[in-house]
Amino acid sequence: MASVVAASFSKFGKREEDVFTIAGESASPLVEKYGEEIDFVIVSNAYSGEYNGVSGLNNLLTTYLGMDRVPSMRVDNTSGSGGSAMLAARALVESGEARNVLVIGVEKMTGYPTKKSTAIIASLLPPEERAAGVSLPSLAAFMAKSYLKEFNPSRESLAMVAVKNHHNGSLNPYAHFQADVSLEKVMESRIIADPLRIYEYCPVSDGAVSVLVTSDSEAHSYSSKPARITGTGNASGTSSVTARESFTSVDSVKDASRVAFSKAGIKPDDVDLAELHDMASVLEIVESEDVGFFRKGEGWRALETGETALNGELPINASGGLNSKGHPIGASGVAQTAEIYLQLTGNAGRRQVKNHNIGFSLNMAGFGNNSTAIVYEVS
Amino acid sequence: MDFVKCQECGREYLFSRVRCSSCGSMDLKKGEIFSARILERIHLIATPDTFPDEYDVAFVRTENGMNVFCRLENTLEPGTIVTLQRNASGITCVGT
Repeated sequence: MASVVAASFSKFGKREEDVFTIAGESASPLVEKYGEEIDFVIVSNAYSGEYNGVSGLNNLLTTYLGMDRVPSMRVDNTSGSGGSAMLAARALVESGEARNVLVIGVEKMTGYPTKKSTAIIASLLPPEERAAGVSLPSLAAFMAKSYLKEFNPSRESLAMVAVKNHHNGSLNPYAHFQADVSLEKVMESRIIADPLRIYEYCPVSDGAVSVLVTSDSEAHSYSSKPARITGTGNASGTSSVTARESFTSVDSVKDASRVAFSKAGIKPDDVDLAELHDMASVLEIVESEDVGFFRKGEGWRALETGETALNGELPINASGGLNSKGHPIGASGVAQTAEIYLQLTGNAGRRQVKNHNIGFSLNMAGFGNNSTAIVYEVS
Repeated sequence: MDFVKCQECGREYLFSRVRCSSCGSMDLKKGEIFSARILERIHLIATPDTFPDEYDVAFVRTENGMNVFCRLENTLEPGTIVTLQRNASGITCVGT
């Protein structure tokens, strides 16, 4: 079995530095401490070609880190890159191909006009949707409209995802946004794709995060409290959103989660905290249902009761999530793992949750074209 | 507007593909669709480069039951019958 034994963040947000400097900021502490032991590097990154004019980022980055002879590869699965990178790291360790894998998630996205950035990200959509002028925010808007019609939640319950996650982000020194936002402010903010407003979407961010993955047999020589990866699931659904049965459910989320829980031998109810892929507010709610934490159509109630708040029974996105921590695309899935590691080891500072034995992360590619679910446990 | 139809299971796609996602058949042939009904629409500000700064996107069902997104050239309400067009500005819908 593989374990996460160390994690290191760069600050997320609008950064002046280049992609190498940002990646180095997160990786350097781990390279300095474990450099001689690392025998594989995985770089999770989706858009270095489009945003930075850089290809072969993994090779350039290992040279930048002074690890020229360490084997490496880049994993690109759009916004699901980080989850896929963790799957690859686990497979390398468990197969014996590598002993200690450094996973670096990084993206440098700011500095482009918003429309250009929206087009780069929309390039993951199937041609029939791109040709209709669809962007990722518009798919979330269709999901929100359908959810509101089908399940009749209060409109405010969707906005409360942003309130909760901005609060959590305000306690996370690495988060893009460092301030609370009121429900009124969310509800009065600019509409981006009707009915969703700007505070309900993740920002375009720069950032990097690194984790060290090693085998169970070696884990205790690196950390007194390793986070074991006890279950993983990866699943795909059709890329074409119009071909799906419903706007209010994502098959790949359901399938990946079911497999991960089955491998870990636990139920959704056993999870103490979760990081979900809240690219838009409504996605956190829909995913919380598809993962199995709540019954379909009832995930929104947890926002009103506080069940998913930092001090609730099942804190979701204690890190601030994509919504507040930010969404440097290639880094996001790795950042979920890093956050769970910090929480499970009791090192999450002011955002530390009370129960922290079993963690769960759900990283989604595109608009659910693919998902990776991971269960982590400490003993 | 043209589309492709699986000759085995009848599933339809707006863009050609090698193999039917539903049944695996590789026997896909071209057809033509004209009208659709708007099921839902949203107003979009976060638009991609090369498209206008804001517009409505509609989720429509074609006369033969295929679900499609299209960009509306003017504001139309759900239930409206529209004509689907594919041209240099992409896939659009106009009121009939």
